[in-house]
Amino acid sequence: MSAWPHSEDFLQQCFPALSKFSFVAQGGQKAVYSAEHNEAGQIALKVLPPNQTPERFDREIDAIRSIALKQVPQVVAFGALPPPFENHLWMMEQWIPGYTLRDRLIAGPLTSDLILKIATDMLEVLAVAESKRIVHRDIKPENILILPDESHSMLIDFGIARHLDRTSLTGVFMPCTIGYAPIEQLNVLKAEIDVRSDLFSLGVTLYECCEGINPFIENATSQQEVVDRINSNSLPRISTGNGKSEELADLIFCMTRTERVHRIRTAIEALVWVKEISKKV
Amino acid sequence: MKFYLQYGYGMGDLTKALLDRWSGDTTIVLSPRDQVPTSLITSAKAFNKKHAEVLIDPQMYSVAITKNGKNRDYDYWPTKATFPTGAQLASSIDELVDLNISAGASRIIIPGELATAIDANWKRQQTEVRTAVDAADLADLTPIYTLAIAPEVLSNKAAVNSLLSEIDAWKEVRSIYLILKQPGNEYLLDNANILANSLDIVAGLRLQGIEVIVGYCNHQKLIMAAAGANAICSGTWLNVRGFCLEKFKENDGMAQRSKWYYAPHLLTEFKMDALDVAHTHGHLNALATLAGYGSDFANALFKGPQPSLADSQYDEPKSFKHYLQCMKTQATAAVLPTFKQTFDQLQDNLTFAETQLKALHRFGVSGQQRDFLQYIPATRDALNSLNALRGTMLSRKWGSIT
Repeated sequence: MSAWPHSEDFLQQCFPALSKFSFVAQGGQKAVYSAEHNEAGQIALKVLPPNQTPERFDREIDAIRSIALKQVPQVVAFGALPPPFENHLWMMEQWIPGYTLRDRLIAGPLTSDLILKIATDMLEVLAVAESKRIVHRDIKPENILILPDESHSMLIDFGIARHLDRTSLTGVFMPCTIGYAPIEQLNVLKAEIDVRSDLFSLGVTLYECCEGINPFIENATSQQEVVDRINSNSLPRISTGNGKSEELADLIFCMTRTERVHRIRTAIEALVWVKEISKKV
Repeated sequence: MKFYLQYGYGMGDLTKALLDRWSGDTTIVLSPRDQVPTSLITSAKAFNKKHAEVLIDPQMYSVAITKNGKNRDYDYWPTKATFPTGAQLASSIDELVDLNISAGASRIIIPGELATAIDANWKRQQTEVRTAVDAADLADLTPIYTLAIAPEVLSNKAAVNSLLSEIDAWKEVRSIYLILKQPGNEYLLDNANILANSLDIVAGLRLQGIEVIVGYCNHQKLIMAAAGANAICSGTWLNVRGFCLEKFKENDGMAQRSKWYYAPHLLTEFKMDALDVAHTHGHLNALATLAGYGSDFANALFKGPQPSLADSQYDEPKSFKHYLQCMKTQATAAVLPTFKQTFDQLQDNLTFAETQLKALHRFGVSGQQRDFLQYIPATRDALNSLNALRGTMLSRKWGSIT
């Protein structure tokens, strides 16, 4: 098998229905390519490293399919590479043009209009996910795509999503992104993971959209320092003005309390709230 | 916020008199510790006739300690000196159902043991109680679950968070009878941390959509209004104005017989000699209760040549009635249309009492051990903590929780 990322020849052999492969990104869990499907058009091809647990892969697909919203790229097809590489799983997803929220944040804080659009889109996803007992567990600017016309945003990468009624697939370590994950994830308190964990991560992300920085990460010299900050300090209120209202500050405040028992309780509540704020703006 | 009467020793006639005055508009939490079963049922029926609701406090906070002579006469009380389990718990609940039906109750308080830690044992016990209730035939009685909490938990923020987190998963629990044990059995509390955590528990439960009835309260617990508490309960003697396990050992509530006058606007109780000193300095009117509180029980103290000379016209029952009438008025008026208004009013009340008490102290007028001045900073800090932690959500949900 070719080196990681895979060569175009190798991919063409494995996926004869695809063409025009282009390497997009590589993460700890997978390599992502853009390709042209002879029926579905442009797709995102994700190839996992060998010997990933099929249960985790199945859950990612289940999560995406059960949420089934326009803000979540849908699965086109999935399977395993042909022998002798059958221990590599792959997934084709709807291709989303645009850029990540992380890319967009390089230019600085977002307008209140765009922040509210992102908040609404993400909370609509979380509201459905909550009703399906699914927690994404990795909401952060890198996992939010913004369409080129900035009309909508999409939540991607359900690779570590958890279905709360199913057995946990993680051991003593819980996958998460330090700086966005709440204390119950950092401290591996599995019984305490629910939609409020995602609301915290989204709240931190929205804070960053407003202020241009994530205070948990800003100028930290180590991951432990970030963890210590999250364990001991809630985020301050965002500064208001320039269309960022007190109510938006209140909402982000209530999403990002350190203890989940102090956070807003449901995604629906947060969604209703953000829609009220949007109407006033 | 509603005001319930926490029944205690010798409260029968007083309760009937207050019910006549209030046209039955209250709930009485009856106390098996203080009445044998036949007497309790007779009282309950009398209160029902006056259109009041009755509840029965099972008082199994610590079976070994709270087992008083009269408790022994009840069929629901466990034979062993421990909180019942298994078949005994089921039997106990069945007997409580029968007792509540006999008393004409429509809601039943489910017993609960005083929690000294939010640990696996406590969680197991709570699960067993909820399972037993689920399996029992409650005969249309609505369950109210006892949640009794020791100071060890109330002073520990992690334990409080764990408690709230645990209860969040109790979907069948929609109503809680909350008992907050004071550290050192203090009547009033100057511990801002415990007061703040108490408020946080009430607010947390209310935001979970759970009804909260706070038992064994004195006037310091009027701040529960800011947390959205549905009701507070209070009574005559100190052992029903503050939860104290040890007092269940005593034969009655008469250990401290002093007559007090409660000045509601000062949140302070005064003995007769303090009123005399105020009279000497021409400041007696500063202690008088305004007509808006609806109490005329203490009027005699302010009409004669010297308060203590009106002693015969201000007997002990009048002292209690005055306190309870003022508490009912204060509890009812404590909740305003918004959280901010409610919070501001409570803060303003504290500031007013603080200013007045400081002025009175300069003339030697104080409530001594029941003077509220020393408790104002902790009470204010607790309210501010609630506001910082929960104010935004309480503001948003105020209309639906009050």
